[in-house]
Amino acid sequence: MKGSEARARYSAWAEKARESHRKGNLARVLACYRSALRVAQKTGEESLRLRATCDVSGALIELGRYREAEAGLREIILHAGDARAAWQATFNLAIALRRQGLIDRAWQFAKRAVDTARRLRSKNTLARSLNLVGNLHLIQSRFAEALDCYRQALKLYAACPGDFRLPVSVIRDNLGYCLLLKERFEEGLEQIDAALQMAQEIGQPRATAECLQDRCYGLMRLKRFEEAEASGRRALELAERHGYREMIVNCYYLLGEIRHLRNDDAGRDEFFLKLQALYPHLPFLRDFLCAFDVSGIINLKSL
Amino acid sequence: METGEYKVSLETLFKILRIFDMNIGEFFHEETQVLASEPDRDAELLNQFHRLSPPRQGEVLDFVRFKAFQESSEAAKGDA
Repeated sequence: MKGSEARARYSAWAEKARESHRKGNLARVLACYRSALRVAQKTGEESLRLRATCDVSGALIELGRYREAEAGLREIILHAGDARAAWQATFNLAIALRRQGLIDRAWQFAKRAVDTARRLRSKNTLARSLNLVGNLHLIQSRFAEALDCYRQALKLYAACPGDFRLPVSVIRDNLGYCLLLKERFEEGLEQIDAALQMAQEIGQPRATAECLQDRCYGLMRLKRFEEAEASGRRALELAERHGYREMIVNCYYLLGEIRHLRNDDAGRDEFFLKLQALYPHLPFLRDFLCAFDVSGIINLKSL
Repeated sequence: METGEYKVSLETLFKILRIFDMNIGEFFHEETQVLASEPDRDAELLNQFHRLSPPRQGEVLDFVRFKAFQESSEAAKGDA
């Protein structure tokens, strides 16, 4: 296969992967990136192979297969002369480690991702790295630091030409959710609504569901129960359709809590029992959630 | 935690509950078998309780209230 032909085939698979990602078909994203990797390996072009390896890793992260997603990333960081690939590998590794609860190690790679992004002088990579650092601050309940990172990231995107609606939507939702945790509900919901509008415009189901879930939480804290429930139900529907497990857990909890606050015992039990069914080793879960209001101590994005 | 506003995921909360419930369950099971007839069990419990800091005492109280609620719910179901 000639170099130019291989590159064209690689680009075609990568484009199919991006298209599937926009539609939220993550299994198809992984399959396309794996095909792209096979083409890249045949070309013998190192930069293409590294990029494809990182793309496969990114798809595995989105599918929740974090341990698998680490494969090949450390080698890229150690040996790659390609700074862009080194950044992507560092960034992916930090996310994979964070998702496995290995926060200290995630921090090491996240800081390295920021440093590499600064050297690359790329606003997009730096903004994504700052969002990652913000997420690490958020899960450790350092909300002021998280807000600062999200705001810096959005400022960078404001000066970026091109269509960055997906990352901007994700970051605005993170910013809004962080404001909710600071109990700045109106400000937070304003950011989340803007993020939701963007996510819906591009038709990205994961980002849309995440915004709806966070909106549900904010409205619940404001005791606007009807609107909260409508958002929560839409989030749950998307989460169930696309298999976002952690979001399903969050929505069962939120919808059960809303029903509980509305003194609807049957509705409350419907959702808390669904939640309990996901945790069969916790047979007292429904009773616990009925007895204690945990809405002020939970972080829906803290994995 | 230092700012008093540490928040956890539901997954983490459920893991904590699991550990707490199992240990407490095992603890009370053993106590029932070995110490049920010992008159100073209540004194021991109180003694240990007063050694805890006020926030921890609050947590223990919350948990005991929860267990009492759980037991009364189970009893109510049994009656039905």
